[in-house]
Amino acid sequence: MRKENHLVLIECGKLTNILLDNKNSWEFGRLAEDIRVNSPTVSRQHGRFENIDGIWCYYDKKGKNGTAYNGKKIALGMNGRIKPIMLKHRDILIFGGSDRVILSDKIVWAIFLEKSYETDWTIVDTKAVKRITVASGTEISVFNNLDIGAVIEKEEGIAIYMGDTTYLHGNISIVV
Amino acid sequence: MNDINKNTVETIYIKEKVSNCDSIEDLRMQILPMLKNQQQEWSRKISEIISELGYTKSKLAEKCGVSRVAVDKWFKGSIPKSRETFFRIGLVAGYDLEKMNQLLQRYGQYPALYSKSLEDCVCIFVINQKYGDSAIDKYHYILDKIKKSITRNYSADEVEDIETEKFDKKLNEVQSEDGLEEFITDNIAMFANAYHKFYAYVKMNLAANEYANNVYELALGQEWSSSLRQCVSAIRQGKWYPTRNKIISLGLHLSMDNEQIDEMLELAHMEPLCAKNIFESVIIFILVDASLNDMLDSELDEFDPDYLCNYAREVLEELDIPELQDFLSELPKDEDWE
Repeated sequence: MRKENHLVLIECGKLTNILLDNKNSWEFGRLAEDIRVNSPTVSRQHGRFENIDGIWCYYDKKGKNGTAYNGKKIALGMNGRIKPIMLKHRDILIFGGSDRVILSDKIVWAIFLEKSYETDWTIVDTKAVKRITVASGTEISVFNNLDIGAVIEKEEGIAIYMGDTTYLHGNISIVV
Repeated sequence: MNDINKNTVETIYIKEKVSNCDSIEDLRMQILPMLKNQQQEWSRKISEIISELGYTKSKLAEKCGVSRVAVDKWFKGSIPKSRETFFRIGLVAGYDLEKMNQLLQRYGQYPALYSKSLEDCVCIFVINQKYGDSAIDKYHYILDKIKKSITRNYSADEVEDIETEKFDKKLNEVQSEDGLEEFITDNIAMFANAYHKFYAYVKMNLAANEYANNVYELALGQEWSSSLRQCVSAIRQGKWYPTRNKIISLGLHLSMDNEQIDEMLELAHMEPLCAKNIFESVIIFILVDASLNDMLDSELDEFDPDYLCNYAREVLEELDIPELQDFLSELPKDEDWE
């Protein structure tokens, strides 16, 4: 396990893993220089990630569709000011979409992680699987009716359940 | 329900009431009488302390390092304005950890002692050592000595996060003054780092919005008190032990809302704004009211960075309550404000 700060993006089923520590500042949006996505509900210049004294923060630009942070739309501060978000391990950002926070192909789902593992991310087909069994090391856990976007973290790995597909990283697997 | 729980429920209730106040008059009529009760409780508490100690008011004043007038005010229900003063009262009263925390939380509405902050760490040590009569002198002596001897040569990367519980335990094992000094020197990076996230959050907020060209211009434009300016420059160097009122002042100057000020307090290991404290209930009212005015006034595209401070000043002046007057020095008069 490495202590590194990553941003993991999932858009239309495609996962992109960005090692944030490679740079101090990342622009995010449909036409942004650093992290570019396609979703039409994401603004051209949607937001910015910035490292401040070793702590990552996210500034949401005052775009049309906005961003949800851990299930709640990021609001503007006093007099329409930008409220910075201080990111911590497992924070979830949903870019674009509508006023309500709904997972769909129109949004970009992202998770901030403060650690990473040796292995690459892998994808497992979990279509029509109602009971998800996760194995990590010697530990086996069973989940019924997981919500889409659920994150399962174990000592040696992490899994993101997105319904039809589940994304795995580290020493973790799905027993079908 | 125990004392602390009851306290929390009451606080939430009052905060809701404060948020629903439509005007300063509402606040004065509905909220302030509820808080009177808190002043009476304090007045009873200080009477109890003095009679247990068998001190005169003058002796209590001398021991606590405050004026005799200040003690007289306490007896009339005026609640000390700094956490430090509560420390002194608790030490003079010879309180143990539990009673000290109760004094801080229940009467001062301040957070309990926190071992990872330097002043609190020394205070916990002094309480543990049961110095009796000389506890208060010991506290100042040790703190001064340590502040003089520590050097802040550390890098933020080296610091391992240690659980507060484990840290408490280690501190409780320290038996002598020399041992304490060694303990603090060993953990100096951690003490310095205890506010790392707080500093970062303030910097994020400074960076997020174009307040003038930089914070110094803003400070000049808003005529910040010199002490607040010092805080910000110390924050940049990671050298400030935040105090509650200064955090609130900073929040107002940076036009933060209630949520942001609460976040700053939390990162500085303090409780959120407390509606049971007269001063803070007024601040909550100001923040909620200013946010609402803001929404109604959506035509204004440009924001005035001085708006919140000026509005706060107006409310504090109109209420004209002794507990609020001290804070006015944080908010200089703006001649253009109507």
